[in-house]
Amino acid sequence: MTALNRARLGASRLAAFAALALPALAHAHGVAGDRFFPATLVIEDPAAADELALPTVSYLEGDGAETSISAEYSKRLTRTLSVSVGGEWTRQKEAGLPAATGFQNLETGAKWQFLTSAAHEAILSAVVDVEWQGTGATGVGAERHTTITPGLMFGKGAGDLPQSLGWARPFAVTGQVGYAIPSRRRDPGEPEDNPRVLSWGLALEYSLPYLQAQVKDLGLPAPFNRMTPLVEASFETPVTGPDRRTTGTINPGLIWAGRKVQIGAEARFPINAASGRGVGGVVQMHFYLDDVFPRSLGKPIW
Amino acid sequence: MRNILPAAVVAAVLSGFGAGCAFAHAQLVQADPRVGSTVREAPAIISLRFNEAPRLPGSAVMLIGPDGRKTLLEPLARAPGDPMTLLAPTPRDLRPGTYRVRWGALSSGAHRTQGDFAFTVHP
Repeated sequence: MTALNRARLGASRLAAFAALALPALAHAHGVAGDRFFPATLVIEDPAAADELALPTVSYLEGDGAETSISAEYSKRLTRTLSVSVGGEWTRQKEAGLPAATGFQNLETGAKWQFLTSAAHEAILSAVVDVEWQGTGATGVGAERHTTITPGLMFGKGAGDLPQSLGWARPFAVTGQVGYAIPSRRRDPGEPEDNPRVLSWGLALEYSLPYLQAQVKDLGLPAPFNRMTPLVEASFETPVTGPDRRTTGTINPGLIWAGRKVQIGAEARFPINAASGRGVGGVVQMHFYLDDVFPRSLGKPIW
Repeated sequence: MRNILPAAVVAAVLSGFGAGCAFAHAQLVQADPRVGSTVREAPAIISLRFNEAPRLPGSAVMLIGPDGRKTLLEPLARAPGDPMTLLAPTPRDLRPGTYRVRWGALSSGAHRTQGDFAFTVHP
């Protein structure tokens, strides 16, 4: 073997080592080690990513029927820091009254994915969301004050369970907790103070792609081999003010994740009468912009 | 017309993004030996088929034996006529036992993905 060939072999081995040892350094959206976390529909997912949720259509009955159509665009500034902007159009219809329509307040956010553990399939992120007063229609419930919500998010896959518990390794859980702080104590003309609200949620997922590729190839055909059944739970608990009832929904459903897009659908079950009535639903189309535009819009700016 | 327009938009979106998308990133579609399987004969080659063609420089496959010994499988090659399938030669005379295959792949979009699975040799 010549010196040149030895050098080439050495470089080749180094590249191979890097491919096995360093995958987390250039990770794709929502990936921690062997785990891919799909974007959840109801609670925010923990990954900083270039992505577009368009549209998200949701329906739930409460005092009346409420339908909303929303969109959210998220852009990475760096590999671990992203900003987002979102809008939501709402139609509310109460019996005997004409329907009210309009936009909710504009929402912006910043997310810092400050921990990614490939070995433990774990992601931790800090987020600050801002809902801007005066940008929505009060007739459909848009607040007359700005709300700032700092929070934490996490994702954890079960891939580090022992091999003897292989059936459980496709499980993953993601979650969020946020504390919504209104910009002013009371809106003009209102009898009550604006409450501070704890918003919290969890998603339990079972990844069939993980099962197929990491644990046991069951020969599942398309589209089932790309599906992740999940249950999301989303709650809000006012921590100030007279009404401190927790409201929220439990949302079982499915996400199908493709190369550039994912499609999700979930039922929505209110946890109590204050949260709604009957069974609602939510569907979403979600684009992975880092795959749609890998060399332009889908790259971090810095 | 108002009914046709949304349908046309949805169709355009699906044709642009949905039709060409089978999987996310360079993900393992199928392996031979199959993931989690038991085989009677030790394989001479491990075959990994992905959803898209991984770059050869930047992709690697490692075999971890029943005794924990790690072996980098090389040289990696593409299957003839199938750029989405990587072939990794195994050491001769694999003993009976459970082996883990650890792979790392670099996709054309410069995304790294990784995974591992086990198979058992049981004559």
